[in-house]
Amino acid sequence: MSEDSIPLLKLLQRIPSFFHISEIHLKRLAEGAICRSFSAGQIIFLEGEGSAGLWGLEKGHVKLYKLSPEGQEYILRFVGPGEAFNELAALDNAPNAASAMAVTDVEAWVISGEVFNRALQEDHELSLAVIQGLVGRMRALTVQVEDLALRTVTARLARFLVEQIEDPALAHPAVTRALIANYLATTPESISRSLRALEIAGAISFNRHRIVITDLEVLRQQAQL
Amino acid sequence: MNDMTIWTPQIDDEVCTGCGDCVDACPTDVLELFTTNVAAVADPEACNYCGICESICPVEAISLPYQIVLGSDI
Ligand code: SF4
Ligand code: SF4
Repeated sequence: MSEDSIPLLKLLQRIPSFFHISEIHLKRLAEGAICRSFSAGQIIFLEGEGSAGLWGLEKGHVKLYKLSPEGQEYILRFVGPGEAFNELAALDNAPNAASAMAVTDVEAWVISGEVFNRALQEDHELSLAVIQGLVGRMRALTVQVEDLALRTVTARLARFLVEQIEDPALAHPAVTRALIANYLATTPESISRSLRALEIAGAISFNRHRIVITDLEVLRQQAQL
Repeated sequence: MNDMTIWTPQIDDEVCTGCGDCVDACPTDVLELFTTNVAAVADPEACNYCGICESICPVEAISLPYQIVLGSDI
């Protein structure tokens, strides 16, 4: 293992589903990985292009998104430091399922699909860990689909705000109405209406550029959590 | 991230058509139309974050960035 991949080993050890994987197997995974830097707004890889491999985020924030044929963006999730992404395309070597863009300046590690799959074949525990990670993503996606189908925009917005506060890894340094709208598959106008509804309900208030969560309990009620 | 330049309206100059609607609508004269025909934030300190410019822009070239904080943190 090269000196350069020691930070990656530390990163892998921080990924929750890799917690119990022995260092020797993580080292194998870290071999041949490359660290890359992106500036805010730069595209990391595009949906539909050949598999870009498995990524681990060292610094910054990334958004994973899909574009409709009309160019409307739908954000699948935000990735924070210490998280992995693009597992699907790394596993089946098929085209990337979504696009990834750096939201802030980013440093990230990429592990080729080949190295990833070889490591999985050799290590039963690693395979289990990856399956567990994917099950977690599956569950989150199921909640997202349920949200889209069954919940009002206000409830979805409330849930988004709760997540931003409760999960520091996902916390976005700066959000705009358009960004939230793309994440919740709605329009900036309906985000404005829902922000007002949450303000009237006493869950949030505005302090210039700050959206202040004034009552987390009320916000959780609005989110139907 | 507490830099004033971040917490002001962000104008995408590739999208802005220079129509001037935001400049006319801003109640505190924050915005100006530059000779290059794009709107720009000329007086960031005067911006009260009312959001009028964002909602009036016909091409969604303006966005206001927000920071989400817990009431007890400020
Ligand atoms: S948010 Fe309001 S005060 Fe600030 S630039 Fe826009 S219109 Fe002017
Ligand atoms: S309203 Fe929009 S398009 Fe018109 S000048 Fe302002 S930013 Fe540019």
